[in-house]
Amino acid sequence: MTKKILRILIAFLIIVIIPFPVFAVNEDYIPIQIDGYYDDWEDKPHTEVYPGKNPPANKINYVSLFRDEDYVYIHVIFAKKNNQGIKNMTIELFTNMGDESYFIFPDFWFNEINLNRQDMMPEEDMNLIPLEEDLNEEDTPEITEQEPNSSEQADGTGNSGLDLYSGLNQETYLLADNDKEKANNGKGKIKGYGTWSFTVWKNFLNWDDWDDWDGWDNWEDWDDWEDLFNWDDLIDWIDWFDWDVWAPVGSGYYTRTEGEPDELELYIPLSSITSNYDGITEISLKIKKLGQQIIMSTGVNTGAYVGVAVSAGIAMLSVGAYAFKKKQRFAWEERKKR
Amino acid sequence: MFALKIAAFILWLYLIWVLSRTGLHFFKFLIGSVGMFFFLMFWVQPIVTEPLSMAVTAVAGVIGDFFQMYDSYYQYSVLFIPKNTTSVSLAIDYECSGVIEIMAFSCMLWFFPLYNAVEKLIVNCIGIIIIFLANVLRIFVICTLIYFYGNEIFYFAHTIFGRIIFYFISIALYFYVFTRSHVIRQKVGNFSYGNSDPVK
Repeated sequence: MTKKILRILIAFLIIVIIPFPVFAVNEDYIPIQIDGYYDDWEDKPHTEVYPGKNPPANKINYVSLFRDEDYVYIHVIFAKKNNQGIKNMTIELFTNMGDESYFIFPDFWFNEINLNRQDMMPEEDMNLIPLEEDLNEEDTPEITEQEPNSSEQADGTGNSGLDLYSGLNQETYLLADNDKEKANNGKGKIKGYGTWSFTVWKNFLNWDDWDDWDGWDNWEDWDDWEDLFNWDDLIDWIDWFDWDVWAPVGSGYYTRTEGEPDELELYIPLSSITSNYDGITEISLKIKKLGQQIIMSTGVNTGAYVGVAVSAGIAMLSVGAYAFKKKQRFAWEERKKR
Repeated sequence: MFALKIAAFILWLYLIWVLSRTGLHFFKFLIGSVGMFFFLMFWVQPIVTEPLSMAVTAVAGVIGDFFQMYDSYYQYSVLFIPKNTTSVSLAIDYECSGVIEIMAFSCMLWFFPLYNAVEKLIVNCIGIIIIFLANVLRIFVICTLIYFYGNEIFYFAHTIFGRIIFYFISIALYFYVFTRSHVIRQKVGNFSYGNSDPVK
């Protein structure tokens, strides 16, 4: 009888245990690819993001945040009415290893002003060609490459920037604040139907400590231009000239289809937040343009030391409770003897 | 590195054999369980972690669906907790999957000199199920706290409160499997009074 029960129990346990991995593994698993096709986002959770309270359905954006070991992936389905496009779109990432803000500029915006590693310089007037408003004429935006204005390139400020870039010899671009405003002031507006690529830019200067710059006291030291190629001095120098330093860190696609809400997908490398990005366990995303809602991705390593502390706490409590109980029993037995 | 692991594995097997032959049960238990844990972590853990994470997510998601508090995306090992101004995606990863706890329990059990092979198999299966369900309960409690109190409570819920629940269940399991069973089954030997003959 006992053996029969054992056999039934073993058979039951085998049946229960073995299928667990089988049903859990999904053969249709699709990793996220930033390619302008959004089908890999269909089975992923989206959060309603909207301005104000209780908006109508057509003013709700849907945002999804995903991460893997190296990248953060973001998908936005824009509300049918309100805030479509990437104008003034700042992506804020808050992590346990630091916070970062990112801007999105469409690639065709850079193409228009012929910006590249050599001549990506701030200029007074970039002569941007606005994209065609009339959707009937073109399905895709007309991209007109403009030769940089030679007189403006000869400008002293611009040349200094070029020198800086060459000296650094890395993927770093300089973009003046006024150009950033230009980009956000309608020049980066997406018109027409189709899919466009864009670049995610990171401002890697902390402007909060601008006033705390101690370089003001050592102004004489700046006569030697070679000092500029010392990284710390360079940062100070850029600060002093009121430049923003922007680095392209990620990219993505924006799609506008007739009768459908606009969609966007992008990736941002975690290395753009910190070089020790293995330690990033919590990531929160906020896109103020779309709404105040925060999307948080978390749930990984919380530190073994806390586990040890909790275990030690439980053990000490148990020992304390046992000792107390034993003492009480001993006292009770003593009283009984008397 | 692989050759080193194989060499260590052969050495470990040899040590177990020697300790068995010499009857050094404590050292056999110590070296056997620790060694087995390391080898399982080397070879088995990478294979089982992902399915186990998915399984924990799926089962925890069933409870979440029932109470309509959170959704499960088990194919990505993610639980999604939508809550007013903040949505939290809780990733069930290597640490949350319970794989370490399951392996530690199994390794100790298989070298604990108490049960026979069939009993060990049954106790191991039951133990795995209990650890798995304890982990599911822990995840459910974490998600519930986040649902009601927002993401501000995440650290406390995940790092402290969830762990306390899990540890209490684990301690109970260890008590019944190892301590209690050992006390009940321990052999105290033949009991006699030797030369203490009754006084005539």
